[in-house]
Amino acid sequence: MPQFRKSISGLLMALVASAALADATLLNASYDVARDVYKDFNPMFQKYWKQKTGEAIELKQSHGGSTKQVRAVADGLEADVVTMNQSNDIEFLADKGLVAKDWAKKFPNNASPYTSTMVFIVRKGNPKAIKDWNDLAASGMQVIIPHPKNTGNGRNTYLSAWAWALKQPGGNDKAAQEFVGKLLKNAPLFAAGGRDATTTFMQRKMGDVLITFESEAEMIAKEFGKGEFEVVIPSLTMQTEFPVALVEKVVDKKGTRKQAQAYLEYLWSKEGQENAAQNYLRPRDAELLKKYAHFFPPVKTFTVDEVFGGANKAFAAHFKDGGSFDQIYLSK
Amino acid sequence: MSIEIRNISKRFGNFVALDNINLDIPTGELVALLGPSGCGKTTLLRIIAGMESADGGEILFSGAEATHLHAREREVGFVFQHYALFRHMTVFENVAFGLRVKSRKERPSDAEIKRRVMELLGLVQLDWLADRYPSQLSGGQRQRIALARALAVEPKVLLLDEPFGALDTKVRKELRRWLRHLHDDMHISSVFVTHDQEEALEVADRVVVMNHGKIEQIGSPDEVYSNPASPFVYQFLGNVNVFHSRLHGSYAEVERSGEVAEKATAFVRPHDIDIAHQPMEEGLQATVQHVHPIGPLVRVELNHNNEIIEVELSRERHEALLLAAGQSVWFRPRQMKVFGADALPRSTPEKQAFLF
Amino acid sequence: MATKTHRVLPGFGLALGYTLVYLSILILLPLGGMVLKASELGFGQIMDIALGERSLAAFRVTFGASLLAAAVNAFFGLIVAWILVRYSFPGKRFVDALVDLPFALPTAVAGITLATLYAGNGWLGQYIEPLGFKIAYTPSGIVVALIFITLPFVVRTLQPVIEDIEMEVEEAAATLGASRWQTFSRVIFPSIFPALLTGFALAFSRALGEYGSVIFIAGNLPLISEITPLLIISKLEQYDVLGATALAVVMLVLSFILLLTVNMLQWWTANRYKNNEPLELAAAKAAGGVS
Repeated sequence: MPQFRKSISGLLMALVASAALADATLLNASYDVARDVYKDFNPMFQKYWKQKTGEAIELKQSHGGSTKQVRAVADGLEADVVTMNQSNDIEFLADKGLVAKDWAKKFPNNASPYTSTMVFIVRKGNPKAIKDWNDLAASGMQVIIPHPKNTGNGRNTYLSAWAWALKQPGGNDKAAQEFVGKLLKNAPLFAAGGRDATTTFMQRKMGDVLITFESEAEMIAKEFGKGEFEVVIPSLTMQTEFPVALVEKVVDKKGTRKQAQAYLEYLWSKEGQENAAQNYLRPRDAELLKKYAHFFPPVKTFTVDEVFGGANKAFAAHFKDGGSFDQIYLSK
Repeated sequence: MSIEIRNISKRFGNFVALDNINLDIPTGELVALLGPSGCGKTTLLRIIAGMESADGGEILFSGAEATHLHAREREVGFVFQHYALFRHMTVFENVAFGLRVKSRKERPSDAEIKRRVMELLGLVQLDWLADRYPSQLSGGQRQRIALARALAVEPKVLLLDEPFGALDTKVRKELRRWLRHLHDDMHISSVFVTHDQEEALEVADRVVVMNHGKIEQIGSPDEVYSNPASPFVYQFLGNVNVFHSRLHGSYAEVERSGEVAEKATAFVRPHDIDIAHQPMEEGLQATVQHVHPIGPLVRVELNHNNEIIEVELSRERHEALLLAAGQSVWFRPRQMKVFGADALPRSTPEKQAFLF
Repeated sequence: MATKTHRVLPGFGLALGYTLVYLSILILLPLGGMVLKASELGFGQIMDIALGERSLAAFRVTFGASLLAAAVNAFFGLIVAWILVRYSFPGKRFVDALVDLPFALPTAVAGITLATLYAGNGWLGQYIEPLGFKIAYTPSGIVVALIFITLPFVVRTLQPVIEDIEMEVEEAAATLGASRWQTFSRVIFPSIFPALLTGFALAFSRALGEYGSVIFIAGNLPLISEITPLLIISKLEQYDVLGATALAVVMLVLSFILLLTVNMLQWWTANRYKNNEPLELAAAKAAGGVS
């Protein structure tokens, strides 16, 4: 499990040089587990770009925790493009003036070329008969999630549960907070990150349910065997986006705007979309989604924008110091 | 308390440190264990103290079996060459240590401890240093504190391992005399280890000369000096000239005394040789090589048949003779000791035995 | 009468200058930058952040676990150091090398391994948990991780000092009637105590800053098993650099005070019997006083 270990060792910069003699070089600062996606995507783009323009392009990758990566870019890491798993990370760069204010409008689909959802992983045969969010809050249930304040994965879970509670009859913020509080009380620990949560659940056999990205389920199958667990899709869950953006300041300085723009646009091409699907990320392309339907069962999702009015708002209301998460823990 | 040592042996690997040692130390005596380094004297002392266990044999304290007693139960005082003071304790606490670690029943009151420690510090004349730390004292002062510490528990036997070995000559002489007085005042048995024959002869009631894990001779200082039991003792206690009969065929005494004339060896102390400018009866001829005045003595090196003979003259005698290098003179031993070949320890190399 | 004293080793001025510059660049500069950054907040704001319920709990957990881990290591590390110095046994060199391993291991690997070991189904956890002790994902887990990480500090600090103890001093104590325990507690322990304090302080300060291994075994539950470094990361996650810096500065000040105290204590115990008042002075005092 070398890939696994790498992903947990914190900020890890893996710079992969692909071509020695290049007309242009692009650096893609990306989140941790995107390694697999871009490992296949980059050569595809190089080939495409060579055919189209005759230009040889060198592509470098930098992977790390999403927030850490963004801070590195803000502090001067010369990335041409950022491909993240939380929009508030890109908002931060927009605030700093590195990324266009209207970055989400610069590309289709909210500038997110593919999506995923939050799903439940339960033990084989679903012994606790877990079907939906309310089961997770039942007494005696053990829920394994990463730290909601410190990890994107944890935050997505938290917001999904909150959104579900809002949509219940008579749902409001107060009821939602109470519900999420009950759910969190069922967490015997908050894992250090998504992969740590997976290890805790699968290897150390702790807890009854693990909540994680749909795309992670396939990783778990590869690592621990398909027969060890079942995936349960709740009645409502978050559609998680993977926003991308040009780092305006860097592309202007390096003169790589054309290539960087093309690189990101290529994510929406048939090839780019198919690559995402093969990495168990839901493509935006409806045809492909149908083609890979066996990976992607229908699911009722919400977006953070719809329910919480944007990632920044959601973060401020729930995860900033004094937000709803702190209130749950500190009021007593 | 008397100490009896019966058939004690000790090996370290292949090295025989002690080979069947028997020794009686009567109550009240001050005994010196004397010998070159590696002769086993310190090992013997440590076995008496219980810091080392013998491979065989037994130790009796006042007639009672003590071979397997732990060091702390033997009631011995031990003084180390390098003092072994507790450096994190004041002088006072060092001396008080033996009293403070006594069981509650036996431990004197604090006032009593203070009285006894100050008394002992008075005895070693260092009461004004009670609240100092050992690192602030001179070597001589440290050794006196170590002695006071050892005496605090009122030991039945005082054991000293090269107690003055690390001190300079002047302090050493002072402490020697002082130890003698202390011993006489305390009425305990004392055993001290030394490689310095002068120290042993000056201080001890009895001297035990050891070599290669064996006792060579036991006797009063006068006995061992003037009547050495073996060539080793002769050589170890002071300077000596060695004459081999083979080389000195003309030497009548040698030939007469030795049973096997060829191999007999004669030992003569440098101060037992007369020198004259004229030929002497039974004298041998030699050339003066060096003349070194050393304090009250004058040491003269003679060359006889390419061998050096050391002679010590008094200043008066030297002034009468007025020897100078290159002169031809006659010499004759006044007194000598002859050992047959079997008396020579086999391991003593002849060359080493030649000049001491 | 001022005479210039010449030292045996030349270049004291140069060496001191170098030391100061080196320490400034390496330590004072980053720390100074940190304090400067924190000073953008007022003292009141810093205190508000430090005295928040969650921060206070994290400080309690961090300092408590670090103290406990350092104390446990002071005790068991002493035993390990003692055995490594005083006894020879087969595989001693191997064991000696083993001691350094926590230095070399990436802390995250250590944390994950320990969590796996002490989890309910782990090699050790499966025997410990039925006895009613939960270690992984509790504050005890934090202590276990910190003990692992900081063990080398105590052992490596003590080893040379124990090697320095003369056998004769122990023998002297024995002939004076001291039992083994008395010899240890009154003679040996006081002479290694300063080094033990140093080892303790090193272990403690290392434990305070430890993040990588702890987060994998702590459980990270607010108010229960969150450590201060996690809170700092949490602030950074909110892009709250100022808040993170404030927490870091408060932690720095607290640890500095603690370390200074330990070092003073260490300095005092190590030096009180070395201050050399000239003997003549003592003699004069003694002569002047009543004896």
